[in-house]
Amino acid sequence: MIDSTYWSRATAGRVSRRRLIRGGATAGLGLATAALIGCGGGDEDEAAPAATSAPAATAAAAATTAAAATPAGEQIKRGGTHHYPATTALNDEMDPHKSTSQAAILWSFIGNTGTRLDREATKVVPELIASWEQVDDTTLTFTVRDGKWHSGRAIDAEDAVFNLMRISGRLEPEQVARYQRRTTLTGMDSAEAIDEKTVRVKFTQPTSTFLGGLSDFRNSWVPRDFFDNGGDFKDPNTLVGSGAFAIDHWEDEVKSTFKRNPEYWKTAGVTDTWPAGAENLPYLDGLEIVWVPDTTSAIAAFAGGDIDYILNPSRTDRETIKKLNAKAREEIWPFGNWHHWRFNPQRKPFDDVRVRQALFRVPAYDVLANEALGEGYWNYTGPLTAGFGAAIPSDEIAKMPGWNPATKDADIAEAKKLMSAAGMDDPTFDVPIMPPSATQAGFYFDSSVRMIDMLKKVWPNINATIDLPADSATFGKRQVEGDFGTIIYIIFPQPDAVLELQSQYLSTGSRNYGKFKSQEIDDLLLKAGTQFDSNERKATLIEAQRKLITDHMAMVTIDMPNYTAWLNPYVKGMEGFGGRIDGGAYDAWRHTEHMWFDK
Amino acid sequence: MSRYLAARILALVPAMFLLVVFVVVLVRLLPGNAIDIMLQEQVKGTGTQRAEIEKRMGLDRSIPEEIVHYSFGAIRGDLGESLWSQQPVTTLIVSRLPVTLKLGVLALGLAIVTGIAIGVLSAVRQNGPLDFLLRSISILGLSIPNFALATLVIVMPLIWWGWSPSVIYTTQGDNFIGHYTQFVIPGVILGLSSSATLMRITRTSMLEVTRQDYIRTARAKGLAELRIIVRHALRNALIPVVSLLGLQIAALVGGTVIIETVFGLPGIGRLLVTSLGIRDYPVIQGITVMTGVSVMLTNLIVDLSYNWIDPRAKVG
Repeated sequence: MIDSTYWSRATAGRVSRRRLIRGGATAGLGLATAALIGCGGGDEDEAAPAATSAPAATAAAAATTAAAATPAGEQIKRGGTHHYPATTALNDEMDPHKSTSQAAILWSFIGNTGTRLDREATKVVPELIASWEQVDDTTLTFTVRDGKWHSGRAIDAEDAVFNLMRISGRLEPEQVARYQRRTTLTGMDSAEAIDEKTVRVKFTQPTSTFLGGLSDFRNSWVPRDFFDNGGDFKDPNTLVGSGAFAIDHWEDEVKSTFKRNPEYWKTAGVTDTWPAGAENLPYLDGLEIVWVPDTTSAIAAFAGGDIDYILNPSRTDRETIKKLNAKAREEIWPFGNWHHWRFNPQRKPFDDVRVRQALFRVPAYDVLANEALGEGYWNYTGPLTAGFGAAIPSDEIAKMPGWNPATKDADIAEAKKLMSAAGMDDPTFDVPIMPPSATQAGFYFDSSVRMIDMLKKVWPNINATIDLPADSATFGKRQVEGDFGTIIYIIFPQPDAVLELQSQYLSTGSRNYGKFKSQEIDDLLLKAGTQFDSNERKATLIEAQRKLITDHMAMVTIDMPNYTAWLNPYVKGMEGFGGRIDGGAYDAWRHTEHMWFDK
Repeated sequence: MSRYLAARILALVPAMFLLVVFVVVLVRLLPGNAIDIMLQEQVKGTGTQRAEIEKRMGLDRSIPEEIVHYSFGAIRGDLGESLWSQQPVTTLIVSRLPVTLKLGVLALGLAIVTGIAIGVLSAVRQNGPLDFLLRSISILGLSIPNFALATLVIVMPLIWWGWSPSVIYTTQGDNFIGHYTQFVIPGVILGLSSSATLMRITRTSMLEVTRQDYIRTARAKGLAELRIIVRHALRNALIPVVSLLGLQIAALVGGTVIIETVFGLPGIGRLLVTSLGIRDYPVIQGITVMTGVSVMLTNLIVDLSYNWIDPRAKVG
């Protein structure tokens, strides 16, 4: 069972006894949840829209929430204000459909998406879309949830259509490039309201990615009358959502407060979401964003109880937290982001697959990840991030040549043969490795240094260097323009396995920065996008992944890090909340509706 | 004097224009712009789509066009809009200015009072144990980077006593006293290095002045030592100190970038850091121009103050 091995990997194997015991509770809860919602079966391993309507998931999801939100023997207390620490200014236009990620922080509190993925990323579950039906290969209808916007108006089908049109950039064609999640709705031809609550969506071809695409944490819905009612994304004080909290006052980098939405639609009767509703969510009276841009200052504020949690601290910062706040507890979960070493096949000699395969086989990826992230804080992953059920499992990747530490000597021998076959017994070519910022520390820089050492041990004359960009903006520009030899970076996955692989490996993929091109991979990925049967779809994706590993190696997947949250002891309701493909920190923010304080 | 003042103000105009040219050119020499960051999730979205967005944001203007456009806007008090939040830059600056001013005034006040007082004391006790101690402290103040000191001040009390200064910003409306007291520790840290600099120049200047004949004459006349130091020596020793003070303003503005970040103070320094990271040209330009103009005006005031400090200077 893929899921059980996944969660157990997060807490076992490379972890200490103490961590194993502590993590056991989380893993146990995760396993119990997986069993309860019935997603552990091999047939349901991928987040494909199974044409399910909401009731199918009802009982199971309700049980899930009971376990997650009310740990045994604890009585939920209402009230209190959560202090969420923001580390950077939130000065983007707060348009969820245009903003790269900043608006999603705010909308995680005040909004909802159409669908979500469950924690195991095995199923698309209802959110503002309550149920759906695949009428035929190119037609889908869905029903909109009974709920209200913060303005008091009921959410209706026209709202849904407005959001589908907006996310896909069709309401502002001259600015379409700024609607960066439009690719999540690939294949959508039209959407129309056929009654007050029902929407019919037509597709240009059979499209299995639509409902998964809507679950992207940045695809929050906004009311169709937002602009008519004086709404302005430039002024967050005017934002109107449907979420657990409504904006009370917004002042960027100074203080921003949110108050409880007393009419939040996720109540005890709503049992089909993940996690399911509970009576009168949210439990807190409100939340406040406080800005603590310096990491050490944030840890100090956390230790002093001025902020309630610290999200995903670095390995060094984890040690500081342990010293300064011994009572803090850690939540850890596998997280779909993936570190990679991307080649640019447009440049010689990276256009030669033998060279790419040879380079891939040399670095010791366990060393890179252990040193930078720490043991127990990462997983192996293949071309599709192991967070997806349709991915080649971490355990299998760990045994493959290149990744497997036990076969490293043989892999290096094979690498030398491949390089010789490419006509270079003693390669002297340039291997510039570009990290995403000028920061000369952290995962990217440290790993680059180690990779250079590892490459030079095998090929002393290879000119492996760090190609340091001026800053992250420069990196972004060079990445988009394909102005690199190789890149070391991390990717936030798309919300659907097919969309994710298409974005990276399709010749027209939106994140195919090296412009990798393979007809057979294109054919497989396009085919998967039309397959509604989750087993067939998974088989196609697995085939594509294996071909990418054995025949192409357009980029090396280094690892899939775990995500961690360090919580003060009074913070409850956040046990086992992390999802694999739901956005890391965004999981925490979206889960605030279940948070309560035991103090 | 008025002619001198008019001439100095007039001289500021080309200086300000050069500042604008410098800022506009320099900012655009940075590789990458805001659109690169906005569109970093996709290799597509280039070509005409990108050009459309550039046009809408005014990023399609050439550097000479932008210099002219920006200069005329600045004359009207229009520094443009943030490329990201779409807020007017003047609004953003005005909203952040009070925090930086409070921090800066406190730091500067502290630097002046302690720096000059200790400098005088050190000069008066030249080569004595007190002088040695104070000079050592000043060297220490100059040597410790303020970011390191700030981090120490936050972390060490937490380790020793389980307490640390707040790094969560308190607004005036939430807690009036808390609002002002939160500036004390960052203000002291920010002012420390300026204080040390002022102390050293005050000491040197005082030593030079106290060797002058008129001081010896004053002593021979039997004037009290305190009166000699304060009335006769210090005033004459202040000109280099005040000149340095003008330059310290610019250093303090630079220091706020780090101190505001460490202590979570939403001032101009933090706005600048954030804007640099996202290539928000109008905000970067606005802050730089505002800072530059402030430094120019401060130095004008410093120059004018020479007359008051030492009438022999005969400025103008």
